[in-house]
Amino acid sequence: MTATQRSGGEGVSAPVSYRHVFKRFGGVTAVDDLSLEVANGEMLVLLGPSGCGKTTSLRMLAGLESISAGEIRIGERVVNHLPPRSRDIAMVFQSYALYSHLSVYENLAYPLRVRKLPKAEIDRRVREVADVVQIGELLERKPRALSGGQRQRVALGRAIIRRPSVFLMDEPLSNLDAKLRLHTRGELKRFQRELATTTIYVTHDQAEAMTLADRVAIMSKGVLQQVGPPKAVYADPVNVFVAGFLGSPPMNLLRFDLTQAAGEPTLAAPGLVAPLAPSLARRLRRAGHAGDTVILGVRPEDVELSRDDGHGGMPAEVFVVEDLGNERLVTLALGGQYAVARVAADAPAEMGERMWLRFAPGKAHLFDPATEARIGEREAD
Amino acid sequence: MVGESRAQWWVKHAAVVLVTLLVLLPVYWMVNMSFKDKAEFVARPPTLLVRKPTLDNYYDLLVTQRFYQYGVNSLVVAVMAAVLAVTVGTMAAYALARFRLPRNFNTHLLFTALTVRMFPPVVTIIPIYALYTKTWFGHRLIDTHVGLALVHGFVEIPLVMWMMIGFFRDIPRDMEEAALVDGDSRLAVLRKIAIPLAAPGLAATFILVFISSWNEFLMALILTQSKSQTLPIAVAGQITQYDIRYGNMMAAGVITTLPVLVLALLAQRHLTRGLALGGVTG
Amino acid sequence: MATADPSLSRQHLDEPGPTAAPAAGEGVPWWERNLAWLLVSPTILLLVVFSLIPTVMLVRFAFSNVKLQRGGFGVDPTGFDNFVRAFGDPLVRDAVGITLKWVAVVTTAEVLLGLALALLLAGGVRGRGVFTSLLIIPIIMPPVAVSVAWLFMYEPNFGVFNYLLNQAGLPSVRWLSDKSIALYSMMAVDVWQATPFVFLLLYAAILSLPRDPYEAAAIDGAGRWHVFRTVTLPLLGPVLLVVVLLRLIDAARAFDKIFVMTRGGPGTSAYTMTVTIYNEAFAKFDFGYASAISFLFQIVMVIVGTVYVRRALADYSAPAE
Repeated sequence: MTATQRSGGEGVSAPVSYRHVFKRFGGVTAVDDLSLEVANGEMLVLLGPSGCGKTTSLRMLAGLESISAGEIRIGERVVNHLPPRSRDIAMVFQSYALYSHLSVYENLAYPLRVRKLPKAEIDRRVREVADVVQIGELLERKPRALSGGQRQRVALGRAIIRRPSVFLMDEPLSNLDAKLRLHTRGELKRFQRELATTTIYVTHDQAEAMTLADRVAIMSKGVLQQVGPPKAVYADPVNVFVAGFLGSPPMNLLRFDLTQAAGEPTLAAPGLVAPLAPSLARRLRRAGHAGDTVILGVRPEDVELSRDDGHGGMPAEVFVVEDLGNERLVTLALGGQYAVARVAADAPAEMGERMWLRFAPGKAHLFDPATEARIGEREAD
Repeated sequence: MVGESRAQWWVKHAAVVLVTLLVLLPVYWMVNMSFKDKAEFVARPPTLLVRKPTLDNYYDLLVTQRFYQYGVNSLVVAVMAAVLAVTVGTMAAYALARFRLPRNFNTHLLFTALTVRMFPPVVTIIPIYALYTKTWFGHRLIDTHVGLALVHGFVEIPLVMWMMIGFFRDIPRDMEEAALVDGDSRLAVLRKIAIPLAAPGLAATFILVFISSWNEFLMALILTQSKSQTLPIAVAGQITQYDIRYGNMMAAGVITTLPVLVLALLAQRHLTRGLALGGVTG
Repeated sequence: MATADPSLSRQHLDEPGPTAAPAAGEGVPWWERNLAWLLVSPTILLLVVFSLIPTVMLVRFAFSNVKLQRGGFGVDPTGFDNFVRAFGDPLVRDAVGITLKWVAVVTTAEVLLGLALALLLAGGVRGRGVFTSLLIIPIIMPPVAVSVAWLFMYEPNFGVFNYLLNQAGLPSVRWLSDKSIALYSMMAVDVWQATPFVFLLLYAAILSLPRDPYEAAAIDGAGRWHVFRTVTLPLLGPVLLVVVLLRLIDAARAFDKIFVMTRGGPGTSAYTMTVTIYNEAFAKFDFGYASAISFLFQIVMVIVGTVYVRRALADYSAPAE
């Protein structure tokens, strides 16, 4: 850490680490033993449904929420007891939290004025940042005279003008309309790469997480479920929650009894009996799965449909067909459960029709219904 | 309302007109009479609108009887009381709106303050009078502007707390947190974010306390004499004399009402919230 | 005029307020760590000086003979003498009766008139903005100015009321000098000043009532009286209670208009509790006795005041952490 960093808030990007962090509100544990290392310059997305503890985790890092137990570090410094102003962070709020009584110029200048930078320096940086976020012509306006997208840019500008060592973003895009959100998402990604500053980004939107993140950390009920690059987490979810949360439509999760038919391992559900592929049986055996039920997960894009049974699939009834233009989503009823297949726009499927569902065993995921955890590793067949 | 008949419409609007007349009549009559000379004052039938308006009553009151000095006393006391109550009450309101003090102290303090405000002033004024007639550090508070302003300000602190808690809670929490992250201390956030955003409410609250002090009678009657007597006490003092000069009194009534009326119109929008605490009557 | 629900319980206090984590630890000066306490400390200090200490003194005075002397009050303990005297004093007994009568008549009249007017106008009236603005005049008018205005209208020889009576062929009335009439004349003044206040609070409350129950009742074909009893009154109940309590408290300490208009007269016919206490203390300088009466008065008022504030703060909660 250099001298300039302390005096002017001219932070050099710094890594962040959560070590066994807890947050309790009364009797409720909002964050339960969170340990997470965020590398310097990395964009980490905290993803999860509302109430999963992601925002609380971010606010503890910001110093807006006290830490019940554990330790949070920014760089080498433990920041648990530092007030927000001493943490060298900048934050973009979901509501943008622009100072409604100040002009855009003063909003941008605010963090610099607090740090008593010289007037000329403030002016130079305000104009520079205004150019970067393209609000140069709005500087004299008050926030209420801005559109949602413009406000979002001001909020972003107010964060980057500080050159902090960490950016915190709390659902910064969720108040934008869908079209603007896509556009801004792309811009955000470019800014982050250019600034090369550690960024922790909270969202409940998995598409945002997939597109923005270097690594994504998925939380549920206060507990961190899985951390990794988006593709890896998508490809190999560690449990039922992650499997069901990522992807749109989400992974099909079908529950089967494990039985034997004619000496062969077999999957059974009400009204359905299908052979278990040898590779999957091997996977179960290697992992030492002792239960007599299993959850089989297959992504909709990995499901193949055919009108004949020539390939030994599972029989299913077409429940509903939704055409999206470039593809179709076919919902199937089988064994008292539903599964979705994502197929080509011209693939045949009629409502009420009987079809056969197939998937490559190598694309299938297995989970233990008791623990909801993954069973074994996938292997290429 | 659904399905209003023509008759109901007429009843409603007749009621409005009637109530308006009843409300305005005494006020109008006071203003009307204050501009009449002695002859027209006792004329029968009374003139509905003054024929020969004169400022004699006002001149006599303000210049000859030097009533302006009581106005100055009232003004000084009301401004000091409002500054005191608004400053102290706003500080407490911010703490109660934004911090959680241990042992449910937030609720206890607000509860205590509001309950104290409901006490009859005549009860505590006896011991306060005793305290004020005593000499403290070579000074006595009896018959001083500061002394009266202190009690006037004190009794309205709960009103200020009540009003300002509401205004502070209207400010988005995010905005104050953004300022904390941007580098401010808690106190700087209060000064640079909360106070400017609550400024309109602050002004309205100031006006309510001002009016309350300006109008207050009992405490001013007991705690002031010659040096710091306020306008209401001086006006009431006119009545005891054998020769009640009604013309002067009407003028005094108008002069006492006018500043309050102007201020009340400025603060109108926030008046109901203040009224819910008994606001400016007392 | 704001149309927000004026009941204390509904105003912004029902949602737990926001709060950030307290600033703590190194790099935070002591005053910032204890900012909340520092912010409330002046209020606490003033409460102690102007409420707690006076209350303690009042109790001490009540059990003493208190004389005004050079350099302050001379206090001479006398036990329960003042209280014994108060319970046997016809003036105190009368004051209780007069105050109760004043409170009952004035509160009833103001609440009924205010409620009737509010209900009548709730359907929307032309120029209601102007109307509500005009109603503010009596509310904020200095009581002494109100008294002066009415004093002159009540004037027996050239006041407007007697002029109108005479024109109608009726004899003059001694509005403020007839013992059997004066108290009621002054009640009318209070009703004039406070009814607009009750109206404004109830009117704002009625305007902010939910519409759905009314539409449901209209679909059910309920009559007006039925709708009032089963929908409006229950919905308005909490606000109405707060307004009634507020008027009770205010009416119980009636002083200024009575003092200005008749000094509590004629005779002692308008000696309310406050006028009586004032006279004992500041006309007869019997501070000990006045304190004893005050103390008894205070006990009653604390009970009513506590009920009121409890009602008003029913939904208040401190900020959640």
